[in-house]
Amino acid sequence: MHTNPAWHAGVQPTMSVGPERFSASTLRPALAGAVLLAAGPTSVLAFTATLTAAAPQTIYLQVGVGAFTGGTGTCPYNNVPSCYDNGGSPGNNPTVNTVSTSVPLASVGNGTAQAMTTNSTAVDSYYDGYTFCTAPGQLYIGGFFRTAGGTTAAAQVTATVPTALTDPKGDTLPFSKISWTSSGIGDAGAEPFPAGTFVNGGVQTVGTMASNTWNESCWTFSYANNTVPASGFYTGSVTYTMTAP
Amino acid sequence: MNSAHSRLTFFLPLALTIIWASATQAKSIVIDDSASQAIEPSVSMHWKTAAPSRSAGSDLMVGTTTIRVRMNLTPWLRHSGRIYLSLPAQPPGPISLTWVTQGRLLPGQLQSGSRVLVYAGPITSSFMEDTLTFQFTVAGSLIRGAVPVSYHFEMDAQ
Repeated sequence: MHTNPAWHAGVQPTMSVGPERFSASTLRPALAGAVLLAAGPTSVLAFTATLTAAAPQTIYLQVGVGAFTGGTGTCPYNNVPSCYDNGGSPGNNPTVNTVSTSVPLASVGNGTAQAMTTNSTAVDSYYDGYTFCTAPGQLYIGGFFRTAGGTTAAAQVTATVPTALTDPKGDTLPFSKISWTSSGIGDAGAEPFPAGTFVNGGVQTVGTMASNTWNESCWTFSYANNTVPASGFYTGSVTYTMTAP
Repeated sequence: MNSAHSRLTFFLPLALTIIWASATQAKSIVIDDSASQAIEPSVSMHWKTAAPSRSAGSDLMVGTTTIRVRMNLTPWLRHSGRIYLSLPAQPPGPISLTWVTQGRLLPGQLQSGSRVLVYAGPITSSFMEDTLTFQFTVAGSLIRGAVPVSYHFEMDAQ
């Protein structure tokens, strides 16, 4: 760990970014100092510790319920046991939440959008325990990515969407009939995961995350209800993916 | 001899004494600690908090390492001295350092570009030893690959 003698007693190391030019007047004092110090008794070393980032990249994406563990005490809000604020760490939660609606027969296709609800119970932010979303009307989406070594491009969150929702009989309903608005209790300004409408099959970007920043929004889904499909129980599964640079 | 003259002879040596003391202020000499040993080969830096804050800039990384410090104080044996831990300003940027000791040296903290007293008193043996646990804190944005950070102990002999 020791380096070779880095500098002599009383002489501080100098660092320069570009080429350095010495005039005769600056060179002379430096030489005089070297002669004096050579007579000194002390061999001098500087200790060098090498810092390396052990886990420079961490990503966390939560759509619906998530997981945080550890931490000291409780979070500032709602006695949540673990969150960023008390030193908790993100965990893995394999739960797949649903968002659904049931359209009354008399209302089918009347053009009045139908609010959708979720079975997700995630309303408190794992940032500090603050109640950020409402249930069952909103779906929490949030996360972050950590990266060392300076500014990088934002992480992308995408949704992989099937062409259509289907029922057991094979009837279909375009995914583009489902939209969402975005908000958060106490929020102002643009949401990191803005409002949108599903595409009919494909991968679409639903949000971005700047590095080393907590991002979260609450999505309120609705079904357009402007067509009359065959009666049935239509389902489809959307997969959200976070991609960090 | 009048009284004004006697006052002058009294004060002149005193003034000279003060000037002499100032001119011979202890100079700092870097201590040979080449016998020191690092327990870990490198300092593994982790995020200070697993998750970041809502606002950008919360990207501090911390890392701990233990050093068995062994300083050669032979040049100052049987003198008194003040030993400082110095962390020069250096790339990649601002660095914070805190440390705890086994008691021979003082614990403390400092920022790069400064030094802190870790011992003051008589030098009674040729070597001074202690085990220090250092914790470095650096902005994660500055950690690009392996980052060498140099520090040293220096003596202000009296």
